[in-house]
Amino acid sequence: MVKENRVVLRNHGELDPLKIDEYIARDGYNALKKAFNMGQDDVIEEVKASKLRGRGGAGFSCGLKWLFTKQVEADQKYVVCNADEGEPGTYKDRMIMQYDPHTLIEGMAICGYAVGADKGYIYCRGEYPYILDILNTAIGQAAEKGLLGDFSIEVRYGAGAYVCGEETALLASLEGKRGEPSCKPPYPTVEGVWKKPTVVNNVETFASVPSIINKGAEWYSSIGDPDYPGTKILTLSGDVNNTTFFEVPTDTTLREVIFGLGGGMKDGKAFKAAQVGGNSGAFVPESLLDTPIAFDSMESISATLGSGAVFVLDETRDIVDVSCRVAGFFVHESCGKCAPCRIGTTRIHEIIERIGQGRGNAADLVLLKDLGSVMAGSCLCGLGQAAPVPILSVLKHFAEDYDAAIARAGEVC
Amino acid sequence: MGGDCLHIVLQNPKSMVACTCFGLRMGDILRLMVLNLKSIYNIQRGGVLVEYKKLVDDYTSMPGGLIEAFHAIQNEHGYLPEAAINEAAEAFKISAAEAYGVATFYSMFSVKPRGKYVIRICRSAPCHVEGAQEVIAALEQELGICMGGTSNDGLFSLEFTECVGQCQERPVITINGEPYAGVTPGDVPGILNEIRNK
Repeated sequence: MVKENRVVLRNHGELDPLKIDEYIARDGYNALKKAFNMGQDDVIEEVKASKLRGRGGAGFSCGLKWLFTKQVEADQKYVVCNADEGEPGTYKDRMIMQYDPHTLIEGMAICGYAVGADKGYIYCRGEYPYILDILNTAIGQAAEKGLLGDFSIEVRYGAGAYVCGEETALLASLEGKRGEPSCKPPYPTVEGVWKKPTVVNNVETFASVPSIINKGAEWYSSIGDPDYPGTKILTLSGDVNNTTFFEVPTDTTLREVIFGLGGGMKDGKAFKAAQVGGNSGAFVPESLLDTPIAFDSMESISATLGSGAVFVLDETRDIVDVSCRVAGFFVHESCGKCAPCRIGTTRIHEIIERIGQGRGNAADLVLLKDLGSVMAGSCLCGLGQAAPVPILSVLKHFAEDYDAAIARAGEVC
Repeated sequence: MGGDCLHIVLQNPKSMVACTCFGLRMGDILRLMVLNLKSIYNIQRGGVLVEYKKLVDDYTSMPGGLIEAFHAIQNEHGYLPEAAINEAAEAFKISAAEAYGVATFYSMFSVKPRGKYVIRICRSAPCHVEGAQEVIAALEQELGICMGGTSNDGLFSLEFTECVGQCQERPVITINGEPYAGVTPGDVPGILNEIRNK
């Protein structure tokens, strides 16, 4: 039976998030003090050796990102926390910020020290207004106690745009502009907010850092999958018994998550599919549930770990209807800057809607696949590139559902 | 959209028919006219402009503070009035088009008047499969308005949203940002009454 391993969520439910003394009593801010004594290079080396990879979805080495930022000569550098979690079914970053804000603040301060940045921003999504006071109170307490050294953190508040989870779009929004992504390179590590070198990491990534500094890279890298070590917070929704959150080692399989911690399928129904990683993730069939959640193993089945959302569907769910809604999400969230995404998301949704309404034909499936591959290769940012992923995955694993919908169309005619 | 239609209607009353084709009903247009006339009157008094400027000025020294300024305006007025956007553009030394571009980019900002309480219903897949549509139907019936509309008493507006990150119980709605998770159609009258009695 798989067990939780709470590293990031080690303080969850154990302390009052608004009382810094309770955090300090649980080893809080020791990692930051330790980091100040280690020196910048050793902190970066430790994070690199831990093999911590970004928990926001892209899985890039956290230590390397910090190293690249430190290596750039600049009069000003920034640390930006991406707290714009918008993947449907995901609320892990909210859990961290709402119930243990100091873990995030400490992680950011360690990063600021390591890369030589004295200013940090938390870009919090607009859908979490109740988090702002918690973050500001916690930041104020840490600053008042002089724990952060010369590092300061400002909380900025988004206004409802999924695309701002993409780092260049987030930085544009931070600058008060439309949250449209831009071409990379230059990467934010070289030219980020206000064209200054900037580390952009997810909430969960920063929140992993204090434990790594406290307990060492060796300890962390021995947890879970060797190439994507550590833990990952998963949020379960849909037709499982326990629709809640869990933090598990990264070598945990999807089957263990759904049928172990998740308590199996609701009402004794059979499993049909799980969409992993949020709206931009693939739908995984029963035959692939023994895949570990780690970044690379998910990639090997053309899926992604993404945000760690696990959305489970039982045998009674209409895959065409669900994938139509998934496609509709991207129509709403495409920023419109590049044509393949702006037009592609709309057309994909239109075609699936047509199939669902019993007006589709076999040529539509070919069109969907073509459109998907064009978008994956030509869209400017991750949003458009990933938008066809869930659709292509259902066409691959649940083709019979689409075929049945098209066959119904034949009968109607 | 609402403001654009209003200008067209004022210049050519026959175009009201065209506006209804854009999804605006006669009632909406008339209400917009009344609200805009009110704001035009206020602008002539100058009071509102001063107020917008005051709200915006708190953020001009903050790098990239335009979005924060818009939040402040919207918190105060429920939406971003055209005059306020213009005021912000001037204060941040950008064109009105650029400021308007920011205001309309983000789904939480509205450039048309809304009810005192904005109810947003999540329609992302996890809420979708667990009855968001039934909750929408209950809200529409209870308030006598459609999604996107505002109740006649000016209290409630209904808007779609994508995931609001409260997926432990579904479906989820938010009222002025406060989440209500695991809402059933049967909960709707009680929730609305609770708000009305505030």
